[in-house]
Amino acid sequence: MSDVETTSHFWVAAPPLYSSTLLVAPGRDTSGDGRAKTQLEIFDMDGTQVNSVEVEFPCSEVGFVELEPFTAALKMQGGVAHGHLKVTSPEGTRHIFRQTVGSSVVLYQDPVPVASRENRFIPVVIGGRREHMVVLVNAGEEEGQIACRLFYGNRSPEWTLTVPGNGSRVLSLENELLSSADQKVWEKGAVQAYVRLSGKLQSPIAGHIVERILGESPEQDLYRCLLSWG
Amino acid sequence: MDRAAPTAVKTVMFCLSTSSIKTRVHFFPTAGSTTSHQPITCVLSLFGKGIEKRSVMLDGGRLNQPDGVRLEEAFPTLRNEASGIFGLEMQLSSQQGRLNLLSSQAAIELVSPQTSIMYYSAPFIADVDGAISMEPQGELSQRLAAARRRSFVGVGVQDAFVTTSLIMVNSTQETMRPAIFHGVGGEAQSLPVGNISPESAMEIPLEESLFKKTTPHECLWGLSRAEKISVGPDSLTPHTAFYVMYRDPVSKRPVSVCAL
Repeated sequence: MSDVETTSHFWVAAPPLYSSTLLVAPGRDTSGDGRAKTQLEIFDMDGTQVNSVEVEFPCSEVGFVELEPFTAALKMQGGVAHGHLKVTSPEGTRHIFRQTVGSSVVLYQDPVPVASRENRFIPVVIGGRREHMVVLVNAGEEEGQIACRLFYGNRSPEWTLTVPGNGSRVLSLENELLSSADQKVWEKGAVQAYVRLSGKLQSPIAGHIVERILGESPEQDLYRCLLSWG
Repeated sequence: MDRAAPTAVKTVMFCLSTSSIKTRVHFFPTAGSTTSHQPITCVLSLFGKGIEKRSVMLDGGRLNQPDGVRLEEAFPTLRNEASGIFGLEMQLSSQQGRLNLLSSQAAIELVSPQTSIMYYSAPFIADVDGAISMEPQGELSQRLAAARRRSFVGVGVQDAFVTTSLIMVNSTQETMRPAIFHGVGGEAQSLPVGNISPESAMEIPLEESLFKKTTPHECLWGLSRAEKISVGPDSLTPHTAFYVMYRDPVSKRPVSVCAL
């Protein structure tokens, strides 16, 4: 690996609902041998490394890495086995994440983690047969804290969420965060809301939301990823 | 707060307006560790084929408070005559001249009855008295600028679930001829995309033939091909923006958008 590297942090979840593939578009041929090396490290939700692998591609093509074989050791939390994928490649490499959630496909670039005293926002519509899972990935080795504030109507409740170093957490917006009945006035209809993520400790945390739009049956549910950087 | 903070920042995006797709614009004015809620002026400009560039000032914007608007409410012309792809420019400014708004964010939501997708704009850049500087200021701004430099590269994908288009937005009053490349390293070739008219946005589907020479990958969902897409450094100006849009090959509805 070269001295200057591109490092990305993604949330990875296990089948059957989730299926993830990493696309790697190499930059220059820094090694001079026409090959590009990419290091993948997978951590479980508590930040314990459960897999590490180095993959190599010809510099002349976009590499594909299907992640399913590396997710077997991930732990369940919030109804899903999930963790943190750290990808390190030579400078100039582009990492694109292709995630299938149910029958929905989404492609996104690496999110910019929120460091201490920084803010990111995610627009979200609450109510209207939608459910939301807040996904947090700690890109640092130290325990991280993030303030998650939800703006909706004239309310703006805030929660402080903790994520272990290199770990990940998922929380249901409707069932775990907006748990008290008086906070659920939005259930009468769909309401435009905003999630604001503010870093509290030095360890940078990447966040996004997986939205589920309930269909007539679970097979008809639609999913989309709402990223704080997409 | 930075000593030489710009008084205004801007970003360039695109929107869709058709009988089945409408656009919502969301923005979040922020200035690093500044926690106040002072007023922020947001000026949104719409331009594109068939409409003269027009701007509206959105009232009520405040620092650290996310906000948004249905584009049709800001530009009623989208309810009636205009249909297609359009360019959008957002400028954020503050009366407090020393406020550094470079870490502000904007998101575009393309809403259709079946589903909707959202993408984030290219990072804001300084817009001082019309003379725009791309110099990053502050730690987060520098990281965002680094992310933007990295993101001048995109990936085109073609398989049974995804096709790819390149979106080019030109907010200047001059015709542009951007240099776009496909392929990696020494094998990169020019992608003929033609000219972009002044104050316009255009979508160029990446043809099947573009992927013919790429190695097919047998994935869980079937055969997939991918090609690196990059923008030449001379084509990167503060007044232009490039996005990769992925569409469902059958329904043609947008699936994802990534900023270049």
